[in-house]
Amino acid sequence: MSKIFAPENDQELLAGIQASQESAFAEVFRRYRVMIQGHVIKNSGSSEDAQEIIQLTMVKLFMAIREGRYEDQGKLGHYVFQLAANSWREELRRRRNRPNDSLTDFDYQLADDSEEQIALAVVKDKQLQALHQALGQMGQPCQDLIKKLSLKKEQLKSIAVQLDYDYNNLRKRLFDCRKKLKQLTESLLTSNR
Amino acid sequence: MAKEYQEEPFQTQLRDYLSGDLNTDEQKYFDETLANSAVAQEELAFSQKLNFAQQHADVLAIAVMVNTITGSSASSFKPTTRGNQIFYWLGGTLMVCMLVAGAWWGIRNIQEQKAEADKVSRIITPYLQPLEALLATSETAESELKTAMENYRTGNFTQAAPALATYASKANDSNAALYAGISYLLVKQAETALPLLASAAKASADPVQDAAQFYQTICLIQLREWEKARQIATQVSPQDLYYPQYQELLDKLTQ
Repeated sequence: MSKIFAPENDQELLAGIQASQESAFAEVFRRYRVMIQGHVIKNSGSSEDAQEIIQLTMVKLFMAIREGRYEDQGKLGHYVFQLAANSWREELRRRRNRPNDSLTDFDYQLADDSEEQIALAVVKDKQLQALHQALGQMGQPCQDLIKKLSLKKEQLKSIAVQLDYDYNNLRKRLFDCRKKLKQLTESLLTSNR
Repeated sequence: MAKEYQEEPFQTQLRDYLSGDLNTDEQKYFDETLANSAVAQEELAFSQKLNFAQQHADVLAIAVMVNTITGSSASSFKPTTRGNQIFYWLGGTLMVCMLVAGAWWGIRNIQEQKAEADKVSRIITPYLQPLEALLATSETAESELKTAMENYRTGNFTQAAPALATYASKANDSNAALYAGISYLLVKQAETALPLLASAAKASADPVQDAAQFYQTICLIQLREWEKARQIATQVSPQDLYYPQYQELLDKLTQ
């Protein structure tokens, strides 16, 4: 757990959130956990539901601050509660409409995912979180290679030329990186359970 | 076959598929491939998540972070209703009270036992002396008796006690039983001494009887049998050899 963070005002806290400081998120958790938990449980939720809604709220808060959608007017607590209450209402609606809904139905391919969908995916999909952690643990050459191919959509042949690699060797390297990434993801997913 | 989908050219097709760069025929062919291969579908799903993870790396980092923060406090997510809180408070208080009461009783018990031990010691210490070895052993007496009494005279009560007890039983000798009882009493084995002294008191004549009864009384006090000791002490006649000592004992027993 992070060290104690004692912001003097909400602006300092919001700055910490925008900078992705763990201590700032820990402070948000400390301040609003009981409020959110109480709301979820009073409205047919379990303690596990409460935990998930708290996570979702903090992710949405981050996204709102990053996008400039939240302006500090001294009502941070009110805003956080609204985020949580809306999230829980949406969750209850999803469960009513699609009782067997799971994130396997989530379309990771959509280019214009709503923030709601993105937040849901990153919070609920533990494999996605494990994949993110695994990427961070790969060596730099593998990370760069995967990034070039996925995000930048470069052709493997042109990458081989850029890096002055033999094309066949690069193919093998990509195969090894991907295999290692999958294994690491599975390992992290198992240990995080 | 599985490896084929993890290498080029399938991976290139997969990337083009995800980015929408396949033409109509190529897309149709790729869709057929996906429909016929679970491994291909698995590769597609992994690639989709991989792209998503890289596109939204910053939000994912926050999600992982908050998962850690809330996960480390998972135990505190169990809801406690007001009723539960009261129950736990009462239960906790009761447990503490029981622990305190138990500790107090234990300490008190130890203190009482110590006080009683001190009382016993205070009463009988002046009388825990060996009786003069008046048991005559003639030249023809059995050697084991001679040896046992020699041990008694030299203060070796640990050796004397069992030897005298064995002889007393074998020879039905109440005199030997008296000295055996005294020896056991002096090595702090009052329970073993008591029956020997009691039998010597019954079977003997004065002065052995008086001595046996007196040491029997000391034994009873040693064993905290206060009432039995008091009973003997109050019933002795003034002609008893140990009458003054009994009066002293009675005074101490009533304190």
